[in-house]
Amino acid sequence: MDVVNQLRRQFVDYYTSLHREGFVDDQFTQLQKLQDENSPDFVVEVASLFFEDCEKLINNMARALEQQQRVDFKQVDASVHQLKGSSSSIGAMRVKNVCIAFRSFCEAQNREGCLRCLQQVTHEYSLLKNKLQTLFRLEQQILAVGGSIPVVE
Amino acid sequence: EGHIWIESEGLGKGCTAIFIVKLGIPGRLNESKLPIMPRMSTIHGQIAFPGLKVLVMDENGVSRMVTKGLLVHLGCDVTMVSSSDECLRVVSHEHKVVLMDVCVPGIDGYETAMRIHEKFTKHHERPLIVALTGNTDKVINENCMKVGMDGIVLKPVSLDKMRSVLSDLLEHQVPFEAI
Repeated sequence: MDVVNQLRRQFVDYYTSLHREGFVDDQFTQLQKLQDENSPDFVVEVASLFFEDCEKLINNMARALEQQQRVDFKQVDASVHQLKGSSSSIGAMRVKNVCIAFRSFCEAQNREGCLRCLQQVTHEYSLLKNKLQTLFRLEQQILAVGGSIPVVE
Repeated sequence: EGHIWIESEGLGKGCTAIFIVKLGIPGRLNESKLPIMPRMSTIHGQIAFPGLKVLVMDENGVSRMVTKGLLVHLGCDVTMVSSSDECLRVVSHEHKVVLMDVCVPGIDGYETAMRIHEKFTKHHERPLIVALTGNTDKVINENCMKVGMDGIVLKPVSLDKMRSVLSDLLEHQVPFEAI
């Protein structure tokens, strides 16, 4: 198999594994459809914005939860709500699912539960970031050898 | 029904084209009798909306960027705002559709929809208002209808869903000119 096909094969396998392992859902596939000659870097741009947003929101949540007494759960919830919205729009399924649980703990004003979710969401975000960076690197490699990025349905 | 003719004072004096046509009076027309001419076209076998001016209101930057991407891919001319104040400042009769996120705390989408109704007293000038929401429940649906929204879409929105929402919306409306 020549280099282009090998890389394309690798890409498809990796992309499929991200779906299978629940890192991304169908919404992520929708984003791929929006990438065309007019917006060739759309997915990378949205993903970058998402990761910036994640970091900012996670920091907000951590700061609010640091307060030993009288945690402002409304403030934590507001950040979790934003993160749930962002992760849902890009198809970051695992991050989104943690946010759903996180919101319940905010509602119950359960600081321990919130801290656990904060840890989980931080973990999922880093995992996803690495996975997507690998995916994007594969895309660059394919383009560098003159190939085109496979569209995986 | 009508006539068209040309009058002129002679060679080199120019000419005037005159026409008489019979037009209907808006408001008295039954919408179902109007010819359905949605401003849609097909690009690569898919429906698209070239030049359709859409205003997107969403406080969340990531979700706003994705919504914009969907609309741009369908050929729309997109303006984005992140607050209801900005939305009310920016919205004009040129916008055919306003897509607003209604489930973010801090933005009162419902009130914004009502103020848009107030701002555009002539029905045909008012943009179509669609709520984008992360949950649908009876309460949200009812509230949206009460404040005069023209549609509700559950997020996240796929490309096919956005396409069919716009196409349904436009088909039920009086034909418009996309600039």
